[in-house]
Amino acid sequence: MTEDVGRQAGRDVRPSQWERTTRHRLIAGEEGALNEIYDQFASFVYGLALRVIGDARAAEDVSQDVFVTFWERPDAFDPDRGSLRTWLGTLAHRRAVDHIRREEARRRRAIKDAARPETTPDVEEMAIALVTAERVRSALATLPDDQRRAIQLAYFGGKTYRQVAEVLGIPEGTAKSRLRLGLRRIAGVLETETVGRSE
Amino acid sequence: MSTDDPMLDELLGAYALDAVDADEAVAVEAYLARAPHAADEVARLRNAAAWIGATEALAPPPELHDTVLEAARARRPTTLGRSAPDDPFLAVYLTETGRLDALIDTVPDDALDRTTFNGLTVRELVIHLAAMESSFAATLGATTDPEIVETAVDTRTAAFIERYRDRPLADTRARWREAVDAVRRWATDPANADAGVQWLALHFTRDSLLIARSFETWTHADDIRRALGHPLESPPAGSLRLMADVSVTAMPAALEVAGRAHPGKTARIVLTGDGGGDWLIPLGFSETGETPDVVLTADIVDWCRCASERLVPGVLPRRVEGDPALADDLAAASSAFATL
Repeated sequence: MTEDVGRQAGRDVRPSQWERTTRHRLIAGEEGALNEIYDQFASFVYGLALRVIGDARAAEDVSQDVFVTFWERPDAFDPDRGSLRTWLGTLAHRRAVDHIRREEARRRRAIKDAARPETTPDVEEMAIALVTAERVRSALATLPDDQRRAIQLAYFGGKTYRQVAEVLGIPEGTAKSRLRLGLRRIAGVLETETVGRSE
Repeated sequence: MSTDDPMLDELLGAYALDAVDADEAVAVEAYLARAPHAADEVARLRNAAAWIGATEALAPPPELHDTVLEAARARRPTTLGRSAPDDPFLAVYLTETGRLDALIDTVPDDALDRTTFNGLTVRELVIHLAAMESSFAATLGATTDPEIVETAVDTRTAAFIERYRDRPLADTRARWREAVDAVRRWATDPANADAGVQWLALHFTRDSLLIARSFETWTHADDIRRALGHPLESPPAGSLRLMADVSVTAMPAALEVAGRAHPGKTARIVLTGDGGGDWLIPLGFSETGETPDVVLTADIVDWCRCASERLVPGVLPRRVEGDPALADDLAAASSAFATL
């Protein structure tokens, strides 16, 4: 069953008719399109922001900012240059990192994964996302420790590679290449399993 | 010349994770613009990063949904799905421009130089559309290319072609979208609901101008389809009806402009098919008589193609009751206001 869902993710090869159409509907100002995008990606955007910032209130602000930014300038997203997930994720991460760098002094609090009622967006897309996230999770687990640790510090910890080097007590050049190599390996896993569009 | 920079290449992973300083980010971005291999790698690594982020997905509090929608509405009014049912004219405009935009996505690079119906290449036709839409937007106060002051269709198109011919099609499209967006903003402002607009030496109401632009957009979209060897497409029935209505109610003026007016005579035009209708009009600047001197029946899509000069009037399939010479004049004058 997992395999079937994975193969359906092959839509990523002939990408995103849905993304194109939805983008046009957004350009036209159609509220229904924004609703669909929210349903599809709210958990992704919010969960990512929350993991990076560690504060629910701020994670909501970042999420709102991401969706409203997309609503305001839907043409800034170019479906030919990457998936909508990547675009929204890049934006969400950047805003989240901006937030914690602004609030440098504040200590992050641990957040319990509160069990909240899930919304029910497009089931197929959600299934693909869940399966892919699971694969990425296990791919992360098989990364060499030093690469995984560097990626987690940078991506979820919002640290620059210099700070990563400092925390891990390694040269900056080593930090840079661990981040790149680790990410490349995850990208490779995504490509060989035909899940998750890369370009 | 090699564009590779190993130092910057080494930064790409950190950059994709937003783990570089601001000045390094600027350097990487400049690099990405000139080094395609680096841009490809960043796209690939960003995709990986986003999926790493997806491992943390967590449903937000339910009330965030409404907060986001309210904030969105406050920033930019929603149209379709809210006010559009009350505003069929804007809906037609957004539908037809949206259809063209989607069509442009499907044009392969090697088809850009194919010749279209009016002699322009596919690329030049998109440039022509940008030229016209931006002319319309400029009339509404939203100037996109201030250096280009030409207003006549031919000279403005030529100036735009000169300017955009050697640039990527994406640039032209971006300009066209800006203009469409300016029109949308103007049309959604309630203050303009009853606005009259003077454009290309003609007077339009807001509604008729939106329909005229939709009509031209559809016509050129079909020109592109024809050049690509794709089947032609008709707008939805509701759009067709409004386009036909604008074209039929302009007939008295069209007949005068074409020198084919018959003041005092009256025609009934019956357009069949989805979106069709029935009109009684004077054949010039005169009163509408009670009984028509001619009844012309035609398919609504054929009529619209004739009015946009994509169908020669002589071969417009029609049924005529009454004076056939009057019907010939109607068909011949239907395209009096067609531009290109």
